[in-house]
Amino acid sequence: MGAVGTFRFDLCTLPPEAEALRGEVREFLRETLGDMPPVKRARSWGGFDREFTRTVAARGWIGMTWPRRYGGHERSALERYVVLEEMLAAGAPVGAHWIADRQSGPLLLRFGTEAQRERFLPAIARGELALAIGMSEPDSGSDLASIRTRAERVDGGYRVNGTKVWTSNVHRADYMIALFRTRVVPEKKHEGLSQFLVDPKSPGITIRPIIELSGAHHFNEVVFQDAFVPEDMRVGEEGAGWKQVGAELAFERSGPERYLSCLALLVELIRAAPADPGERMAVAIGRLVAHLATLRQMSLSVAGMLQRGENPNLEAALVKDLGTNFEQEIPEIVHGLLGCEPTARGSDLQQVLGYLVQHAPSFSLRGGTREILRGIIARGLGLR
Amino acid sequence: MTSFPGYALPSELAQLRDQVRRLIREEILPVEQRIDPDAAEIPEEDYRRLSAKTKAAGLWCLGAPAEWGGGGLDTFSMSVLLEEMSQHRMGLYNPGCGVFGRNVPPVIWGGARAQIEKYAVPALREGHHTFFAITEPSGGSDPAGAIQARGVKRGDHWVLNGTKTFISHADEAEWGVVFVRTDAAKGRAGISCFIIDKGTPGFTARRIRTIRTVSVPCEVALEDCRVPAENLLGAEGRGLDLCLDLLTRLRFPYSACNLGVAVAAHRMAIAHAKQRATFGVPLSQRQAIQWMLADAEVELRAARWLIWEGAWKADRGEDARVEASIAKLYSSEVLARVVDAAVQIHGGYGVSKEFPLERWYREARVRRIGEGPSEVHRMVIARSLFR
Ligand SMILES: Cc1cc2nc3c(=O)[nH]c(=O)nc-3n(C[C@H](O)[C@H](O)[C@H](O)COP(=O)(O)OP(=O)(O)OC[C@H]3O[C@@H](n4cnc5c(N)ncnc54)[C@H](O)[C@@H]3O)c2cc1C
Repeated sequence: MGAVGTFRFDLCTLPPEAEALRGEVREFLRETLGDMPPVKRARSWGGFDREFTRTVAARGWIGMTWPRRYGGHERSALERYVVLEEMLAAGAPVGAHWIADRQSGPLLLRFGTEAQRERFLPAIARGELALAIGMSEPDSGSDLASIRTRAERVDGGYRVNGTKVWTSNVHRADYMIALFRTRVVPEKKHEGLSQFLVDPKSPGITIRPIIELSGAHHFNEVVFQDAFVPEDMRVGEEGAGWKQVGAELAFERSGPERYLSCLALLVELIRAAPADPGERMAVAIGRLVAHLATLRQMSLSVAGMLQRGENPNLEAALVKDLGTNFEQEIPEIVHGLLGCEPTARGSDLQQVLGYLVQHAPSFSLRGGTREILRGIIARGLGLR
Repeated sequence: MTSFPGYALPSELAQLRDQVRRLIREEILPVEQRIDPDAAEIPEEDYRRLSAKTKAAGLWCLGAPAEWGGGGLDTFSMSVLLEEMSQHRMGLYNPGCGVFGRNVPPVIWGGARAQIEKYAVPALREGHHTFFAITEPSGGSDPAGAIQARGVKRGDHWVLNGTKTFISHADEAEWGVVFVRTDAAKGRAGISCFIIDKGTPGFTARRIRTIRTVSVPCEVALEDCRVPAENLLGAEGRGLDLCLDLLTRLRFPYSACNLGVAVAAHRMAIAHAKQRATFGVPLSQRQAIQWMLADAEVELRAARWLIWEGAWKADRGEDARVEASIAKLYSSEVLARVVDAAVQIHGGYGVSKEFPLERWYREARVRRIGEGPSEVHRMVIARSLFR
């Protein structure tokens, strides 16, 4: 029998310099966001505001852990954690830099060429470059290695044909990091994949909006018809895409955004609760807050692993699964307590509820579905 | 010993059901494919074309009383048929897109002959929209206590004042009914029901945007709205008694719509699971997916029997209030769970407008609130346990 796997969730306390930063971030958010309405705060990292992103960059809060020579600030992962959790807790519109700061930047730092790092990282850290992720395809999501979009070598670069889908915000992004098949290796789908920096406005690329459940446009379908991508826009070695994507997804799953998406609703619930909330509401709120505190501790522990240079893949999957369950539960519980119809008008609480009810189903799909995460956890336990 | 003959639908009913099913698949689904996924209605010319067809086929207004031009089918039969009529994108709130006829507020059947002839008969014949206004901003769960809108008699007419909320079709209806308090001292015996014609001065309806972008309900304002005395439905102060029995009965076909949409979502999820493969294996062979679908199957069948049993009881003239609450509560919650699983199984497609699932998801949320929220139905059921 193989060894039974275990998960490590070491207690992680934030160092004084990180806690010191918290006050600064709060002050900044109070000033910049002013009286932004709760329903806008509920968008969490879905809010996209380039102006805001530039202001955050000016404070040195994008690319915080990256080396100074690439425009970074050489702060610790735990200091970065504090900035992220404060931004999310306030519902700041961080969408224009979230992806680049979370995963594209670290990816370039690790696998990009020197020229790519020099060109892209400082621009990201200045808040000038928004990135999108082009992984999923119409026939490949969970089973990402089965993607079919082809990048064939031509003079000076690659010719790309195929389709990406669910590509969030690519219609507003400056670049996307896309995964293409550069070589078809029969029976070995994980081989022959490569990552590229793609300018979505280049010829041969058509972006079609996909309207989502809430009626908003944030997803897209991206069709490549003989689009050209220059050789020097390949990230990492040809054929190394799978390994790189694995590392990228670990960044994608490990952050506090995986349990804070419905915080605005919890806050509104507490605000709307009467002074004597009654047993049912008191128990519900107490339980939610206890879960929140536990999830935060677990998430912090993952941040501690990142800080020590360890691989938190399994722990991140666990926190994301628990976190999205928690997020999806909040609108249900709030509705059960108040019985109000979620509307686009009405009280702040109703509006936030209306917004989040419509976003909740995505939580257990985006960034790795619930079932896929559980498969990863099972593997971590030595079950498969 | 006699043996139990088993359950079987009468063959005429089974045939009707098949006719309805075919019409939905062959006529309604293609029309919905080419219109806005959030549309509340199909285009007028399609409505006319298809209702001419259903009229010719004897499928028009099957549930309305036969003496007033309807098909006279009982609650049970209508529940069986609505499970089919609702199986399309806008089917939850607009079963069959209205091409099988549109309902009139059931209270009208408690009115005088002249009222029925003037209002109900043409509305049924023409498929007019009508509205039913009972809920107020102060709460809809307990109408007897919550109704604050007032009606005061002045000579040969009544003057109505107040606000109603979440009233579907109030802005486009030919007429509707509204419940107001005509005697403040009498509690539930002080509530009366009036018919209001389209365009009555002092009556305004404004759309409210909820998460079901469809059947956008309205807020209705009554401001010194003058209604002729002959528009009082039933006796003064007896408004609630007029409709309680009918409203109870209507919960079964309403629940059947929940069931129908859940059945449709479940069928889509099964088809998708068979056709979509990940890691070289169809989703249908993954236990995680199989269990979601197995649970859904069990719940759907249970919901169907709860609806059928209650409807049957109501048709025999027995008190089916608790059964109506059970059917409504369970079917709306099953709908939510089944649609949620179907969304999850569809991955990204589940939350995009390309498929009807996203609309069903939003509307299913509201189904647990409208027609008495789950919590109120639980109260009704619990009360019956401790009587
Ligand atoms: C809000 C949102 C934003 C997104 N943004 C982006 C983006 O910017 N860029 C991008 O590339 N992608 C993006 N995606 C796509 C997302 O990564 C995929 O939706 C996800 O990976 C699932 O893939 P799929 O939709 O193809 O579903 P599928 O992989 O087809 O899965 C369908 C269902 O089957 C289940 N399943 C699959 N395999 C198994 C198995 N082995 N065992 C048990 N169950 C299984 C899944 O859990 C799911 O329930 C986004 C998705 C959402 C919802």
